[in-house]
Amino acid sequence: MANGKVVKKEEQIKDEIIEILSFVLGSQEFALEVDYVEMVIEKLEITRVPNSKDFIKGVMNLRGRIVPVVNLTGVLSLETNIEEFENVLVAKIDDMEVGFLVNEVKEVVRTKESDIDVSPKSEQFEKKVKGIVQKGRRLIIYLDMKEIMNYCEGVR
Amino acid sequence: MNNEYNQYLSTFIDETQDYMSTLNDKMLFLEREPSNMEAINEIFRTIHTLKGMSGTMGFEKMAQLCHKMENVFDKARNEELKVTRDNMDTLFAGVDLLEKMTTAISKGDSDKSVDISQVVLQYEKVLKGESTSQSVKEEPQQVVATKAGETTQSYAAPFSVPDEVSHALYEGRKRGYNAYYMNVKLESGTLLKGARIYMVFHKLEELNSEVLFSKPDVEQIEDEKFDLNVEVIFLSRLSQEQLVNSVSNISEIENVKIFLLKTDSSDEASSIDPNSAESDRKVKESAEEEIHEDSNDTASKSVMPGITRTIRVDIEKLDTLMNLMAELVIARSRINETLKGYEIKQIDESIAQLSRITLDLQNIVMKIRMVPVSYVFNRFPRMVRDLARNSDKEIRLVITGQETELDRTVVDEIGDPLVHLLRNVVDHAIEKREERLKKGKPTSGLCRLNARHEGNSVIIEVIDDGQGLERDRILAKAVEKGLLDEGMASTMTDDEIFHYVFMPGFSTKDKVTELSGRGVGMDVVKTAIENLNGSVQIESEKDKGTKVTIRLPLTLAIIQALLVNVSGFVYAIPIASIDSTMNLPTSEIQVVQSREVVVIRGEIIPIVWLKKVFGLSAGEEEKNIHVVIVKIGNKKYGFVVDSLLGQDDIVIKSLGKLLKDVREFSGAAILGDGSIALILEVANIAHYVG
Repeated sequence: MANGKVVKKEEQIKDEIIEILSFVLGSQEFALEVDYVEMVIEKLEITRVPNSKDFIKGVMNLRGRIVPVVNLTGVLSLETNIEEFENVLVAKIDDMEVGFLVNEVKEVVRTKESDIDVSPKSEQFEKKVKGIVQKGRRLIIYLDMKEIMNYCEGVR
Repeated sequence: MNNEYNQYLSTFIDETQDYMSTLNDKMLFLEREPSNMEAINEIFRTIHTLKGMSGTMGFEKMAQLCHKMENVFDKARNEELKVTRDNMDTLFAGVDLLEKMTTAISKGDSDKSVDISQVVLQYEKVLKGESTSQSVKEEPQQVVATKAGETTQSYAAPFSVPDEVSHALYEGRKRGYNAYYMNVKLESGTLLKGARIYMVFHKLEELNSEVLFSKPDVEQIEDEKFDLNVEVIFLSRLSQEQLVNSVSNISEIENVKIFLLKTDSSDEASSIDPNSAESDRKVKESAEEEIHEDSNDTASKSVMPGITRTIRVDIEKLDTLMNLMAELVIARSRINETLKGYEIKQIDESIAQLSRITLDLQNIVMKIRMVPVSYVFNRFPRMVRDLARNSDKEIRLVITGQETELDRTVVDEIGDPLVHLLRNVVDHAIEKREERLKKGKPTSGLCRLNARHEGNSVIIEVIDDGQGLERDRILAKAVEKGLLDEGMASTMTDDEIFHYVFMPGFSTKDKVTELSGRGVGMDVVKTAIENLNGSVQIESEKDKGTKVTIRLPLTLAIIQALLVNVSGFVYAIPIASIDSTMNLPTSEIQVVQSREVVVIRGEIIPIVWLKKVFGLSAGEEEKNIHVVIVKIGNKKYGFVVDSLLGQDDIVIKSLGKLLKDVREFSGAAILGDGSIALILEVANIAHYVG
């Protein structure tokens, strides 16, 4: 069902060029729409919030605002033992600021909507991924941030 | 629109809106008591002020409309015209038009966009229909003014003037001008005083007169640094009478005294010689006495409440200001930290000053957010009147303490709960007339709405003298709903029983009316108040009445909190929920029914280890424990912390949607060093021990 819908949508806007920002998380490369990105900062002090969901690392003080910090490896159930992240990618999704822990932010990638490979959807990622973008030998996992936020907001 | 008054425009709009609300209130009152002279007088004064203000600002159409309305009320107060339902409607229509104009003006439009001809015609009819005397009367105070100015004697100036002014007077006289002294007294309560005096000066200029000297001086007048009197020395070719007439035409001028300055041909300078100060002072004193008499005379008449000068500001801007404040505090701390490494003596003082300024700023920002509760209370008299009329009851609403100030966000939120409570009073509490008579109560029910400060809280009470809550019926209903069994019922206190009223879906009223009785209401009230970190309490006595007490924190945004350390993390506990703190030997902890408790002054207090609740490392067991005793309703709990760090004002910030499932914290605060302290939601943490 879900696949069918995506295909249909794609036919309508076949040649639209989209810009995505790619970043490294553990050993894989991910990306999200550039429009969501507010800033990339060095990791600030993160205050743990007891009894919150596992993938929420805590909150940080971003210029006087309290911003939750999310560990995407937890959200995407990535098998990694990396605990150290150097950077925080701050995104604004539906007027809500969220910080995502990342190892490294790479670059803005321009791709045609039609070039996104939507077929191989693993069970692990479910709807959280829009598809795979191929850039040379690199495979970038293109995330569906709205879905990810829905998942994060869900109850424990 | 006259450009020179633009700076006054926002003040004008704000104050006009305030006057509109006064006008509406008083007119409503007058409708009920058409012969109430006080109301008529007050309306007259309000319209008169409006007329003056709009005239000053150059909104002629508005002034014109006010003038017509004023005429009607002038007749009414001279008892030449009776206030009836018909002409009330016409007058209300006028108020509506004034409101329209104000809206138009505030949008940058002019008052001319509103058509007043219809209403003006109606006013003419009202005026003609009821009275055969002349249709338009002059303002009474103008008559007074003319009278005051009738004397043609000349005096010495009642104060000494600078040499250059004496010289100018001398020169002026040679050119054929008369030298005049003028004392203008504004009506008490005059707004835009500076602009008003400016009008006087402007008028004099129009009349080819030359102002040489004024006391206070022009700058002080611009800054409105004067009471009601302004003294002026000027040159003019016109006669005293002409001058008095033209100046007193300006509205809001209580009276004008103009007299010729004495010309001593032998010694020109003598009358205005600084050396003759003593005699001058005497004259001045006598002049002042006169003025005092005048003001006493009017003081008794005018009871217009003092309206404070305001600008309306978007609340979001204040929130932004608050956030910026927080950032500023943090930035300051950072500078402090950095400088510590360098030990620069010279900068210490500057930093200390910066700290003081930021603190002052923070206090001011907090104060800016405070508004009087009258902001919500204002609409209740009208509402209660309408509701009472609908249910055919007589209810008198008495409001006290409406000047009590609360944070704007709190004030915004208490409106709905109070509406619920007042509806309950009208619908349930106050009995019908016959029933009240049977009980020996006055036919008219009394509802009091009180607000006052109490420590760091604001108390709002809704008190009625109605039938009170029926303990037995509430009990029966609670049993019926399976909330308690009959055995328990006998041991319950009134307070506990009345608390069932706050349960969702709990209503003892059998009849569903348009107003209330659907079982929603009290639980909504409770939830709303608790969301504001407040509490509600009911006291009631059958046939005597009910008292609902709402306790609210002064502000939502900033609270006082105790900062504590738990396993190296800093948490904030709102002072409002803290009973006391103590240091106890660990051995005092007893285990009762597998619960850890301490006994303090005979009270058994359950112990909550915050470490365990937060899943933090236990650390070594200490000899002593620090316990923060918190109070939730009547129950006390002891929260065990590692150490107390001190008390601080903190700005509450939400944790956001992602953390809404975390019940243990109500928000977070950014501390001086930029770190974050989570704020404990005391009631939810206490649930851990049941």
